[in-house]
Amino acid sequence: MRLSDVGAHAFANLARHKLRTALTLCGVGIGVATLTVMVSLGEGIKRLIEDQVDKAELVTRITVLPKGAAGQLPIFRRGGRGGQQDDDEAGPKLDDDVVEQLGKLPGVVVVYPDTHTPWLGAELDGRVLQAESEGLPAKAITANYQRALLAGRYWTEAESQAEVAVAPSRVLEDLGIKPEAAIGTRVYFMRIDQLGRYEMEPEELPAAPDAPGAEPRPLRVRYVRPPDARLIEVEIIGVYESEEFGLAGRRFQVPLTFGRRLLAESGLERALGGQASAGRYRALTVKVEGRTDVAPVRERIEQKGFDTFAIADALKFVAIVFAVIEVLLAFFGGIGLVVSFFGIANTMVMAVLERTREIGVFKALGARDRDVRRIFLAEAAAIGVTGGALGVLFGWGVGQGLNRVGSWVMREALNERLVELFYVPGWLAVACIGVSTVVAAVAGLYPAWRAARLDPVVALRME
Amino acid sequence: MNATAAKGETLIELVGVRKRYRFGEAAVNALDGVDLRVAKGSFVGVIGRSGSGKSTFLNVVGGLDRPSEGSVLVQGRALMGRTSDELAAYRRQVIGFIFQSFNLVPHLTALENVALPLALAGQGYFERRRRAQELLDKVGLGARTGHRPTELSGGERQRVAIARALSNDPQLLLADEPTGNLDSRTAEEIMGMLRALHAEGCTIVLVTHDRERAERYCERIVVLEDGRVKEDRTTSAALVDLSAASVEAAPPAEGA
Ligand SMILES: Nc1ncnc2c1ncn2[C@@H]1O[C@H](COP(=O)(O)OP(=O)(O)OP(=O)(O)O)[C@@H](O)[C@H]1O
Ligand SMILES: [Mg+2]
Repeated sequence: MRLSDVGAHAFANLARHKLRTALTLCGVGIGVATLTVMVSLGEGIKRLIEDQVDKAELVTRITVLPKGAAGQLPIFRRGGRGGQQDDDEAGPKLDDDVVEQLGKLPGVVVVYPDTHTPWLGAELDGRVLQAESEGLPAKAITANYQRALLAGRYWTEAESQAEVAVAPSRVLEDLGIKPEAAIGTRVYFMRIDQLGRYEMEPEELPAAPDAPGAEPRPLRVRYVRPPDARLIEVEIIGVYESEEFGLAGRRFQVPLTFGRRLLAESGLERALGGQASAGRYRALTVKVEGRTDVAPVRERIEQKGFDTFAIADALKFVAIVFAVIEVLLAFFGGIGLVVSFFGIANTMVMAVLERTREIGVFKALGARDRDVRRIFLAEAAAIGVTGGALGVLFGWGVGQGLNRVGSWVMREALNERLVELFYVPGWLAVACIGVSTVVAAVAGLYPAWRAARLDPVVALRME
Repeated sequence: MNATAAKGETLIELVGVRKRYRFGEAAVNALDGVDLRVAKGSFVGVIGRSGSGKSTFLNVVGGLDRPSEGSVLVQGRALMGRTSDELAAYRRQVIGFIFQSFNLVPHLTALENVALPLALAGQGYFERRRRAQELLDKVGLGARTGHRPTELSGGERQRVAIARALSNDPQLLLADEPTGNLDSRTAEEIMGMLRALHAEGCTIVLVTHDRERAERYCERIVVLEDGRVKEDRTTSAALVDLSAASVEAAPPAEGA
């Protein structure tokens, strides 16, 4: 018997028993849907994290450190080794020559020294706060940065010497300033210890008590700048969505040259390592074109005697964690499939019993045992394929629904964005249908074997 | 063995065939030492009481059942020792079965039923449907091809079953009480159809309860009793000129 005829026969038989087929398909479909929903949750979360990482450009970034310095701040090393200077690093130093060399490696977009300053004081709109700064060359401002811009603009290549800043939205939010309103205003940076010298004064004490029933007005405080404060005045030319980068939300982005100066002014340079102002850096950031460039570029850099660090390493761990989570989710989702296994086995045993005489006729007409076996296996597999497809569709629908409901419940926090917590990639759909088909075929093995083994004489005697 | 066997070369030969069914200690010999030759082109009627072993005989000849002892030779080659796949091929290529209860597949149309053996033999869709249509035309049901068995009368069902048995051009037609479920007029029609097939050169072994009808249509009668051949003789029908018989216009016989 041709396989196409076997398949056609299987589907015709299923179509004939509409109710029974529908009920079995429901069982299989719900099982597969559970599996789909479970695994799609894992996939969705993984994708959200990956997206976040991609937006933060972390995956295409390599941090270059002098040999032996990886993971340690000099401030701790010095304490541990009795006041040695940071010249004790074994390999070559990170200087402008190295920046230039690394910039020429294939796949590298831009190389710039790390001028991140984690502790700075800042005065903005009459209030003071702790801030961070990071110097970036104009070339490092990629589309992701532009996309995260809420108002204003970034500096251009021509403005690389300018003393301007792009402010994090979070700081402005805390101060109650709209992003657009911040453009053109000034921020004053200072050493962090200067913050303690500011005096607080209540602003315009109410002349008379509030009228009864009226909202009590909040007491505004004015910070009085010490007269001899050393301040660096900067114009805010843009505001970026700090959440987008997953940063602490206090980091001002400034042109690289200015970033170096801020680092020097912060007084933290030696504590952090390197001496950016003297052209010796504690670390370099190398930005490559794509994920696949990370490994080869890293290798070239390490050959030059530097240590490197890439978030890709950490992502490998994340991938392992997610693989484990998905296996767990698939395990619980798979329980549904176990149930449908028994449902299909039951349906097939019934079908064999019911069609015993037909099997006898088939054999009398010359069907081989394997033809009979295939007919029933195909029938079971057809249930698996159809149930699998319906289940994937249903599971996908449930996931979409939950995405909408979840995003609606969280609409404030999400800024009305639709977050896809459940995500069904193509491979998942195919895999679910495949697994369902295999499970169904295995469930059909025993009934099909029994059917194939039937003695035709006995089968034909059946009433 | 006898005059009929001499008429053509031997198609089937049974040598000492026994079929034993056990019930714990007791055993029943459904066939108890049957020796028989069936010549090519003959029309053999097997009669006997219920339980005499007629169906068992047919099943053994048709390769559906294996004898406990003895051998069945088809054109000199033994069925014994063949694998179940080889027996299936034998049924597919050499044998056409016709049953008392028709045994049509209820959910298939008349055409699909007739085409079924060809589908099992791996023939293509259009080819086998064309052949099935031809056969249904031949048995006078060319206009009922799309009907399911439940929409057909008993006689029509048996005609579909005959068309199905013929679909693979079998060398041997095995009919197990094909008229048992039919009224006598319809039974005559079916018997006439078998006679016409015989006239076309088909070898037929017919099992029946009906001695009188067997005498009229078959050219040889084999009587089974308790699994043994009790009687084996030619009939007067063997002398009738069959050249006028045709399947389409099976003449109702006198007894109808
Ligand atoms: N599977 C079986 N198990 C046990 N005994 C069986 C089996 N098949 C047949 N027999 C016995 O073998 C004997 C012959 O049976 P068979 O069906 O060949 O008779 P038959 O002549 O065709 O009868 P009928 O005219 O009623 O169809 C009977 O006694 C029957 O009980
Ligand atoms: Mg019988």
